[in-house]
Amino acid sequence: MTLSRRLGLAAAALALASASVRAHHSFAMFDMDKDVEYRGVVSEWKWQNPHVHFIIDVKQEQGVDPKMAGRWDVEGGSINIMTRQGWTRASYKIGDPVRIVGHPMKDGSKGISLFYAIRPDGTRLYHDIARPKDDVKK
Amino acid sequence: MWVESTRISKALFAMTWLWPACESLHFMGLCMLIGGAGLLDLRLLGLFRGLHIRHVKALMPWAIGGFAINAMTGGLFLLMQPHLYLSSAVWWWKFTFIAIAGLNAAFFETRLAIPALTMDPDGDTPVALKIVGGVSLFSWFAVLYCGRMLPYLGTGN
Amino acid sequence: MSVFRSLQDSAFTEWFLGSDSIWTYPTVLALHTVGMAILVGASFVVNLRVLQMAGDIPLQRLRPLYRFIWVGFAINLATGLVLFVTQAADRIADPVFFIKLGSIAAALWLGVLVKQRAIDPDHAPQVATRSTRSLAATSLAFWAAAIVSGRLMAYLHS
Repeated sequence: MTLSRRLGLAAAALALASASVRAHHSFAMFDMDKDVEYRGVVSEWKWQNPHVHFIIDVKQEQGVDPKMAGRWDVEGGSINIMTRQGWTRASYKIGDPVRIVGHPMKDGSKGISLFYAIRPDGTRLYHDIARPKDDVKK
Repeated sequence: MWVESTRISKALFAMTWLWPACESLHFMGLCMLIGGAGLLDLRLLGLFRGLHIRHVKALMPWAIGGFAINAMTGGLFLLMQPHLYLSSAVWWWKFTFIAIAGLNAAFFETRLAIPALTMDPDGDTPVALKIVGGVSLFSWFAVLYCGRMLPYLGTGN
Repeated sequence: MSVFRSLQDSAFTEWFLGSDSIWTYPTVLALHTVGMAILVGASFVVNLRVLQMAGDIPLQRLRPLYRFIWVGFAINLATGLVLFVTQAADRIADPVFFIKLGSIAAALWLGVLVKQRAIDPDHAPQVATRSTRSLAATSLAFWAAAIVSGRLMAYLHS
């Protein structure tokens, strides 16, 4: 009785919390197999731990899939890891145009796990150590 | 890395709830490990004087159980996202401290277990036991620290 | 502006979360994990013995473990407060946060009851009563719930 009660309560807690895990975040919530490019304008920039976040507004334009248009929440890594890849607090600011490649949320909501940003000169600013299989040293 | 393109890696990683569940289990495992091994280490360091070592050793199966949970969940993390760990210096440090703790424990079991079990429980512990206990306690907390610092000192996640 | 919103938007939060030093956010988080290991680790040992699942340590000899429980709790209360300030507005509206706090309170309170019944009395029996063993088991369950909800809080940022 004691052991099963213990396990029961733990399982209940896990189940209850798992139900709400769909709300956000974990990189297991993103479709890590899909690399999608987004072009937009930065409307919010949060250079902070534990995750750097920025919001980009993708305009409804000709040639752009309507589902792509809107406000996307881009999630990066910690300040410490991103700094090592070349990011700084000043990498982007509100109003800057931005091109990024990332992994969208599995459930279709407008969240992106950042893979890399593409600088105006075409070089890449990676989020962490991961590189695409076909990476060309840029 | 080639591991990530294998079907098993993708299949596991596609289960959205698996990663958070493994993390929770990993934390529970570490509490079991540090609780059980910690009491033995503190006893070896000379605290809890009067408590016979054989009583403390009754917790070893639980400490080992905690370690086993963490080895399994750790193995799953590695299988799902190997590049985040194998390319991270902090992770190799974590692994190194696990090895130190393990070797230290093996040394205790093979060379010092009999003296520990036969020593006077009311006296102070001999220096050799203090060192083993200290190395163990330090190592496990170093493992914990390295693990927690992976998203900051590591290369990703 | 609510007090929680002003804490979350404070200059301290901006500095603490925006710092690129290892010694701010990452270290506080690491200390929180250390506190958890001490707090839950010690609780685990006590409860396991009370449940007759960890040999026959004389129950009275478990008393010093409560010092470690309170040290672990103190570390986590301090680090927890710092972390809370930086997310005050988000957390105060987060049910998982309250599940975590409630679980911790329940686990601690049950741990104190176990201490009073089975560990403090000099002549308490070496096999704790069934009701006390129930308290010990439930305390462990609440620690598990605290760990799970604590972990899941990380996935429910706004």
